[in-house]
Parts: sequence; structure tokens; C-alpha cells
Amino acid sequence: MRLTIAALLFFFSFAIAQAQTQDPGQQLTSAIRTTVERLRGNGAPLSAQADSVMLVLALGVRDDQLLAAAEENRTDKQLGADGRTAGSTSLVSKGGIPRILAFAVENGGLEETQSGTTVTFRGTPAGIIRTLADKGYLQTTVRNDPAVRVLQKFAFGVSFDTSRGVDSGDRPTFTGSNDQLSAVSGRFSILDQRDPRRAQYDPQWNMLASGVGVTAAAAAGSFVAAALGDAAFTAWLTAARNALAAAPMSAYEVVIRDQLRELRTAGLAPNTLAAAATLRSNYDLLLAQRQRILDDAARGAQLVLDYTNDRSANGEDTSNVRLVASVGQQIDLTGNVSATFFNGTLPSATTKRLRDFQGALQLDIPLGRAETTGRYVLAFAYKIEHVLNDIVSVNGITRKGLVSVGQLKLTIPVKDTAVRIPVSVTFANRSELVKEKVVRGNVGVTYDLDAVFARFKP
Amino acid sequence: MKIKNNNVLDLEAAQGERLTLSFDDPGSIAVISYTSPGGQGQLMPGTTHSFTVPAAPPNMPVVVSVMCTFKGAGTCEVRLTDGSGRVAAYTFSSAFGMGANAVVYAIDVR
Repeated sequence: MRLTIAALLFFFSFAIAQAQTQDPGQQLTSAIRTTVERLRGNGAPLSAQADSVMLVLALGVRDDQLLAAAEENRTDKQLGADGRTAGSTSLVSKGGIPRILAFAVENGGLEETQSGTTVTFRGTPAGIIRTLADKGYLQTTVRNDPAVRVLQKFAFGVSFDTSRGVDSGDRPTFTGSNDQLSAVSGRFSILDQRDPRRAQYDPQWNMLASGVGVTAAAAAGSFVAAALGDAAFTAWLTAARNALAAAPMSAYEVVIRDQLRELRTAGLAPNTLAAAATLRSNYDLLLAQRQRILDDAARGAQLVLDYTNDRSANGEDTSNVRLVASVGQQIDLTGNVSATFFNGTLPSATTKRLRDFQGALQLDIPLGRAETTGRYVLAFAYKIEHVLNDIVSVNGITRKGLVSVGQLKLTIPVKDTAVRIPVSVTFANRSELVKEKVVRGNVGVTYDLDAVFARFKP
Repeated sequence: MKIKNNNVLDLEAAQGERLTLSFDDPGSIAVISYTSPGGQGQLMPGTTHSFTVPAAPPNMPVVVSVMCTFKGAGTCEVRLTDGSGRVAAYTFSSAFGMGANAVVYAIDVR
């Protein structure tokens, strides 16, 4: 027990410490890729005026690779199917809503005895409409438009069980047909305090912008003035632009990295280097203050109302109404309460319309760093379900009583991709059908299109 | 105001010319800080900051610097506009994870 507590404390401290640090290598790679994208889009050429931050970072850091996407840092999104769907690796539903579309394929079985492969699509009407209108992912967060603001509170999900309609022994194939449609869900965000763009964080942002932001801007101006008057910098810039002109667009990042290495030995004037150091220190202060605001936002609360219509392959169709609440510091605590009702004709004359009550809690502990190891999430979950009466179906007899389920899950990011692999072990006192203890392991794959869109559709 | 070298951040303007800095951020994804010959501070969306181009020695451009700090994912645009409506616009993007970025308008004074 003592060992377990020590391990937990280690995880907690590790998670918190990592969330507070900044990685210069990540900053540099972000800056390089931003410049590359601008050059590919025929934006402003490589220059001190446009690239002061990248140049200053390059003078002080190694050329580390990075993967830094705010979307990948979030642990509050429900990407896969919820816990009621066949093959799901999620025990507790999460409150976050992907703005565009999240696509998830999860393998294995969790609560149902039937195993299968479930494909889930989730998104918001606002995001989908804007994407179809080719306005790009980044404009789906517009909050000035009241209609968009309301639409963004809604999300939908559609799950398909690809094992349906497939002959025994054949490979599951996603057809998107009505037969494979296993669940339809709707979600309304009642409260979401985790968006750093909320008005409640404006005072902090304004303080940053009018304080260290101004100092950093002035430092950028001083650096550019110094660089433009520095013959060594001008010579380096000419050579760097020539190298870019001779290279295909696909090689821009490599060329810029090579040229930035040259910059370190270009013999820049002392006043240029001094201005670079001043900009760098002010930029670091700016990022540190920004991170504090983002950390504050990450502690916000969420409250979501969720409706799911489950279309069972062999049993009765059901409707589930769930309230999802989340609060967090560096560690996220999510709670669900829900009730499930039978749709249409009841299985028997003695069966009540209300099928079950459920309650669940999940603790998410982020581990590792998004920019280096990736953002791992260790989760502990517990769920209790009260089935109100015995239900006879083609699957067998669902026994009334309490079903108690615990789960340990590790979500592993795949570096440089939007793919995450959830691995979970589930313990239960019984299943709904059988009054025997159950232990089951699951491995799945989820794919967050928000993260992809954020990179390729600025 | 004239754009030089096909670079919106490389400008030429006459001494005494009036230029205006503005900021378009429909997604509310950033806060903007600036310094110019006319002052410094935070530029709120929908507001402007105007200044008069001062005298400057040859090869010593007047600089207008802008620091964009991202609070969400997306793009926003800063513009420097002259009295005739000519615009030098620059788009900031957080697509690759930058927490903040700076641009500096360098204005040669004629």
C-alpha cells in the first residue's frame, strides 16, 4: 500500500512539474514551421522583421524536434464511443467537445459481452458547417456571432459497429449502413470554463498584453533595428534567402535549420547579440505568464448533458440520459450520473421502462510532455450500475442488481501524429448477464481530426 | 506608404505621414501588444493606433513592433494603413504551436 501511495505521489508531482515547464526546442521548431508555412504560402520572405523570434531562439537552443499542439494537450475530450457501446475502451464519458470532427476506432469489449469494432464520429454542427463551407478549422471558434456561439454548445456523435452485417469469420468492414448504426448521441455543453478565450480570463490576458507583451514587442523592435544595421546579419540573410530560392518547398525546413546553424557562427555584432538576448529573456517571460493563464483555464469546470440512443444488434434499443461534470487542477476529475430507458415495446409485460441507474467517477493524470515524449494520460475509473429488474432477451437474461466496475487505463500518444492508443484493464464483480467476476484487457486506437486540421488548415 | 522588396514588413513612408495600426481577430485567439513612434500599449480588436512618421537618419528605419500572444488556435491579422488606404497586412498563425510571435514593420523615411 505504501508503495502504491508513493507511486501515486510521484505521478502527481511529475504531472504537475511537467505542465509548468517550457521547452526551448519546442518553441524553435514551432517558429521554424510557422516560417516554412508562411514561405510556402508566398507570405513575407525570410527576414529579421518577420522572423525575429525564430532567429533569437535559434541563437540559444538546439534544433530539437517538437510536437506542440494545444489540441493534443487536452485530456477532457471524448473521442471514442462512450462506455455503453460495444468495443469501447471508455468507462466514464468526458465533457469536452471536439470542434470539428473526431473519429475513433476502438477494438475489444468492455461492458457488453459482445465484442466488435466500433467507428464513432463526433462533431459540432457549427464546425461541420464551417468546414463544408471551406472556411477552415481555425474559424470555427468564432464567438462574436451569437448563432455560432449557441451552435458550438451542441455536439453530435454517430457510432457504427463494423462487425454487424459481416459473415462469421469475415473481417469487419465499415459500410456506414443503417444496419451498422449502433448509437446516435447528442450533447449540450451547459458550462465550459476551460476555454482560455472566455471573457473571465480577459483581465489576465490584458495585463499580459499591456505589460510584458509591450516590453517584448519593444525588444523585438530593438533586435530588428540592430540586425538591419549589422553587415554580418545582412550577409547571412542574403545567403539564407539564396539557399531557400534554390531549394524545393519540401526542403524548406531542412534548409532553414541549416541556415540557422550558420547564423550562430555568422559573427553577428555585439549589439545585435545583446538585443537578441534581451528579446529572448522577455519572450521567455511572456510565455511563462501565458502559461500561467492557460493553467488557470485548465482548472475550470465543465458540465455537459448527454443523450445517447443505443441500437442494439440483438437486444432492445435504449435511450440514455447522462450528466457529465468535470473539475480539475493539473489532474482531471470527471463524474457521470445517468439513467437508461427502453425504447418502444418493452421486453416483457413486467419490465419497467426505466432500465438502470449509473454513476461513475474518473481521475485523469497527465504524464510526460506533449513536445517530447507526448502526452500520456493515466486514468483510474469506477462505475456502479443498478439494473432494476431481470430482462430476458436474445442475449440471455440480464440479472437485476448492482454491477460494480473498476478500470485502469493508459492512453499512449503516437508522436508526431494525432493518434492515441488507449490500453485498459477492467475489473468487475459481475457482468449484466453473468454473476461472475470479470477481468478484461482492451487496446484501441483513437484519432483526433481537430489536431490534424489545426496543422494543415490554418 | 510603399511596400518594398515584396515584403509587407519592409516599408517606405514620408516624414509626417499618418499611419494607423489595427488588428482583426474574429476568433478572439490573441492579444496584441505594440510599440511605435506614437506610443506603446495593447491594441484591442476593433480599435486602432495612429502615429505620425518621424524624421529618421538614412539607413535607420523607424520600427513599429507588434507582439501577438496566442490564447487559442487560429489566425489573426495586423494591418498598417496609410491615409490613402494602402494596407500592409500580416497574418499571425498559431498552427504550429507558437505561444507568441512578433513582427516588426521597418519603415524607411523619405
